[in-house]
Amino acid sequence: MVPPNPDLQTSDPPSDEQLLAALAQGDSGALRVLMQRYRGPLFGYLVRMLSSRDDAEDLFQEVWLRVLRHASRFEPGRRFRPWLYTIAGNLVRNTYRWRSYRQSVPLDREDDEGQSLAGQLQGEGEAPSLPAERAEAAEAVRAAVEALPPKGRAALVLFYYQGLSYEEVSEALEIPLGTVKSRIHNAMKRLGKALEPQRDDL
Amino acid sequence: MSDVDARSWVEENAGELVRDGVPPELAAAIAADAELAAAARGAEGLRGQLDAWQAAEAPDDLVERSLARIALAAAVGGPVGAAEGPGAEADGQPAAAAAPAGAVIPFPTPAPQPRAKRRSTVIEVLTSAPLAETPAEAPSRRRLLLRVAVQVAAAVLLFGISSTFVAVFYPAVTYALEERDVHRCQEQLERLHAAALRYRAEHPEAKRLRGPELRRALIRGGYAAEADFVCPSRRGRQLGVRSYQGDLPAGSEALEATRPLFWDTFSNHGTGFNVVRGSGKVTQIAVDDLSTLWQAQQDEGARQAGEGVGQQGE
Repeated sequence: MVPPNPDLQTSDPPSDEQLLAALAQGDSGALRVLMQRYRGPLFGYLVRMLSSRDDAEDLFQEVWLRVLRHASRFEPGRRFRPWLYTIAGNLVRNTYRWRSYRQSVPLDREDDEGQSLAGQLQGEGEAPSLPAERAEAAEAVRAAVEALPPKGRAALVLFYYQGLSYEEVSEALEIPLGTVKSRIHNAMKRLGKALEPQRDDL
Repeated sequence: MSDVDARSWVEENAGELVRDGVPPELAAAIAADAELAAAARGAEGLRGQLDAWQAAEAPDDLVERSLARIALAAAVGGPVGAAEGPGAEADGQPAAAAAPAGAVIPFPTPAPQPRAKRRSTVIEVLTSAPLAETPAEAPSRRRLLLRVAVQVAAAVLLFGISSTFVAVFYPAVTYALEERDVHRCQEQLERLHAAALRYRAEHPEAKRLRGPELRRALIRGGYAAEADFVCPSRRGRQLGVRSYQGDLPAGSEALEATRPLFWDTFSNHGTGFNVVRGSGKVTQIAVDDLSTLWQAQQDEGARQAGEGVGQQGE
């Protein structure tokens, strides 16, 4: 058993980077803390990107497996959060490829019980017990975000829903800052147009 | 902050405007400009809509399950962090020696497997794999490699079959094409022969014509076309390329039946040379027989020269 890292014995909560360094030294507690810290944000990101709870749970575990594997390669001076989302984004892309490789199922095709895949996904990916009106609005947003190009969608979800800064999105997606801004700008523009009818209804 | 700054900020930071709203230092400037104020209101409306989509809460036991899976991966494939552990790559030492003592993380042990399984019912058997639909599985690295290997093998097999077909049929095809060209060439020589005879009949005063001179005379007189002087084996070559040589004796001179009138130039055919003689008969002379023909022509020339000397002596 590795003794607790003295760097983590301060009154301030340790930073992500400190925890990762401890993890690289074999401190298993650091991994647990990191996972707890990112349980909600990372899971939310994966659900939004994949529209599936099951896939999100699988990828959540896979992300941390990779974090553990590559912790020793983490470059000093780099930020942990964008790195974590880089790993997650790569796995999401793999899942997209795998989904397109498998025979795709139209979202609006109903199953034997008369429920469409979109409906199932909506049920899976959103918080339960929403009022009908709000659920409808949420479904409209989900559909609009899902209709975005994958690159724009990733930038938007990271920036808007995960709260990353432009610089962090740039690091996470490994693209220039200007490209990040333009992708987010275009995504917002598309969303504004797509959601305009709902806005008028309100 | 000026209006210009506020406008440029709004144009460049549409994302932040939607997510975080108007920054306090720009609030006054944006409110003063009707267009910017409308943009800010639109951003606020969009924010309200986007916030309606709340992702589901993560399960409470997600972390524990993830740790268990990592522990399981470690149990199956060795210590998860050791293979790429700290120092393993830097100094080139084996991972087990380079990893610090106790680097294997004591994760929770996976749940024990059930010892005995009850007997399956008929329904369970019928709905289980492989009778039921097989659940989708991500292709493993081994399966991907196998797939690539099969594709490479298929490509090699296809290449081999193609090569065999080419090796078997190419000589036959080229031989058939060559035969066809030879046949067409002979027909063309017959046409040239007929043209030369017409020219000779209409121009009894004509001197002896050879090579390009003969070709020009026949073409200008309308007895033959330019294309008639291009051998079919030279497909795609420009017109005007001399495929045939010719030698038409003077109108006053007798045209012997065996005298070559037109014949192939070199490289028209690989098998030999087509020759049309004064009688109109077309024959093909093999390459090996050329020396004989050449010798005969030399003899003929010598004979004519001897006759000329004799006449002068008389």
